[in-house]
Amino acid sequence: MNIDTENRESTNTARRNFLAGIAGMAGVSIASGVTLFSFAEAKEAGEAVTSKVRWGMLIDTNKCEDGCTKCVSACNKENGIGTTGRAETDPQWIRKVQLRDPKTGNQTSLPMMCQHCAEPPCVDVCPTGASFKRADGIVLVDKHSCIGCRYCMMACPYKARSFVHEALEDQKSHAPRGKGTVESCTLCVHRIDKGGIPACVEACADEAGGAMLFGDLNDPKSEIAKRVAKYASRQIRADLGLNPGVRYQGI
Amino acid sequence: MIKMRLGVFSILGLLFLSLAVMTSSAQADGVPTPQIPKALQKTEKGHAELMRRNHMDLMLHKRDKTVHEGIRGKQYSLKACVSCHAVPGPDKQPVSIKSPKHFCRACHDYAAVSVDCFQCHSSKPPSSAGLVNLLEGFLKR
Amino acid sequence: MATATKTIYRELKNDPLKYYLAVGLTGLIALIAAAAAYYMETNGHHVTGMNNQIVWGMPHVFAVFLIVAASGALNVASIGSVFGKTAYKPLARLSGLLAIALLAGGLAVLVLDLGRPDRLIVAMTKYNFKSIFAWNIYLYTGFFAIVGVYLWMMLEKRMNRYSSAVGVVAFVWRLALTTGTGSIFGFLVARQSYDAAVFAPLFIAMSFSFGLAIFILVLAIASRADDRPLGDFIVGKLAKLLGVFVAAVLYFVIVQHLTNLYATEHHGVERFILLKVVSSRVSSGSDRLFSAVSYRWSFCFTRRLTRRGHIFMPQPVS
Repeated sequence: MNIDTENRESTNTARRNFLAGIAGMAGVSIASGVTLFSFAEAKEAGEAVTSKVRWGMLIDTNKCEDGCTKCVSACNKENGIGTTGRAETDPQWIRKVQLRDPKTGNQTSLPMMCQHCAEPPCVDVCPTGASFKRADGIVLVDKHSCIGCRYCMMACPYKARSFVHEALEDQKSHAPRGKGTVESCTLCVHRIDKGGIPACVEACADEAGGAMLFGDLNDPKSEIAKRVAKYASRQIRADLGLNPGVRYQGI
Repeated sequence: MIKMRLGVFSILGLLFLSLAVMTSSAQADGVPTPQIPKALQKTEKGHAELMRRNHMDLMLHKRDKTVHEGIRGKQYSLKACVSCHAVPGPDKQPVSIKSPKHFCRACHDYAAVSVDCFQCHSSKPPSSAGLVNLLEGFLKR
Repeated sequence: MATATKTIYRELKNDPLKYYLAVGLTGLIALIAAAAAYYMETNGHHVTGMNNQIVWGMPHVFAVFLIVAASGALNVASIGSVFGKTAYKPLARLSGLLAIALLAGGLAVLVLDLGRPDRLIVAMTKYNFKSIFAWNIYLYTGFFAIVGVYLWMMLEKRMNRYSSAVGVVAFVWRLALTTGTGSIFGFLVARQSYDAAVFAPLFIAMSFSFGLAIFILVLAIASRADDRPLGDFIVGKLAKLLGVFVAAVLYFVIVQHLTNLYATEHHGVERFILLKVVSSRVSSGSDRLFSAVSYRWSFCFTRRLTRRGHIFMPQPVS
């Protein structure tokens, strides 16, 4: 077009600036949400998980208080885990463990759950293949195939698995559990697949010391990957060579 | 001896025949069929027929896909089936599998095939908060 | 020596009282077992003393004992067929039958102890071959088939010439079965008192010992009930053989414990197993085995803050 554009210098740009400002503010406020949404949204519906992602947790025991059991209560509430009235047979997906080194007297407390090993012994010993590792690193029990032999409970170095002795009622619809099968921490797979974080991590962050961090160990830009690269952390019973996905600091 | 055997078999045969006649004549309109409660939503054509024949195979296949590969969505969700096929009880709340009015029990009681899915899975739709979550999840995708 | 020995097999005497007594007794035991299984199924496994710490308890003790004894009971037949000792040949049939009975009993206990015995079909169709348990399912069912064929070879006159060959197969198979059963425990990396290669030969030695012991008991009862004296010769041989096998078990057990006692890492668990000593620092509780959480530190678990209650670990020798 041959329109002479020099005559436009005196155009009032106030409205344009205003609109630009609004757009900028909207963009900034939405962008952070969109970014979180896009990388928290781990996968699309109808798509299989891949090993591009490896879910893991980092637990800072310095921030973990003795006597605080918020993670345990959150897990029990989220997954509908009740009590049988017999403490010894109550299922425990996560438990607080208090450690004391008899040589130095140092005491610490930490939450212990399924460590989601990369080479899980429970998967090796399951006769039907019900205990399996998903592509994204979460170790689960396929209750459809579980025959309740408890070999995985024997094989787990962390005593992470529990056996359900009695018929259950009113299970949470996102956490099926039944009599005669073995169960353990699922890393809240129902939440993760929707882009969320496990209930214990959320409870610790919201109501307690913020000792637990969850994220993708394979993503170098994730908070957890940056932290394990920067600060020393260890896996419990690393000598067994299982490469658990849960790492601890401060022990 | 043979005469005795013949006699025994003929009596047995008569008994069976009379039993068959008695049971069939009890239903004036033929073999009784299960009373299947209506679903809460309308779905695409052919869904009922497809499910009638294939629901077990579909469920077995899809559950492996969901559990082992993490594939989720409306087509793979038992929660979705249970929510759509919820039957309200006398207190207007959905009944659980314990009640004979449950959707799955309509056919399974009739065919005397035990359904053990609900030993682990919840047979009622998720609570209202959970249900909202569920529907939102489906809508988003 | 050119003289051929002829073995004469006779039926047991026809004594209705003894027969029905035996049937009645075994029937009663079976009934009690069924009642026990039903009780366990309805009330949950905790009635057998099982909880989250004690994962495999009494039922497994008996199941494994019976399975190990089953493969050992076949040994007597193998000595006759495979190693050619003619003195044992007449005992071979009882040996084969006893092996099948013991294995069936052991498997019955094992299957009923499963959390979901109704899923036995799943266990027989879906296999994870990295699990020794999965291999064992094949070994056990194969054992039934092979011993069945072996018995047929021994019982039918025209098949007798094959009994040696089938006997060799049965002998090798039963060694594989016992090695597999021992490896269930030997492959447990998480448990300090297991996780040793010695478990496979230990179980082989135990199978020889237990199997022969049960065989001798059954043979003694049967021959006494039928007024059929065994004779000093065979009794002496069996007794000496049992002595050798028991000594073999003792050897492997000593080797296992001495090796563990040599390694400081295992001192805690050895103290627990041999002396039942639990850490003095804890206030109350019962003996529970808990594998060390950390390898480098010597931890003392004083208390768990959740519903699992008090868990204690033996204080390692410092």
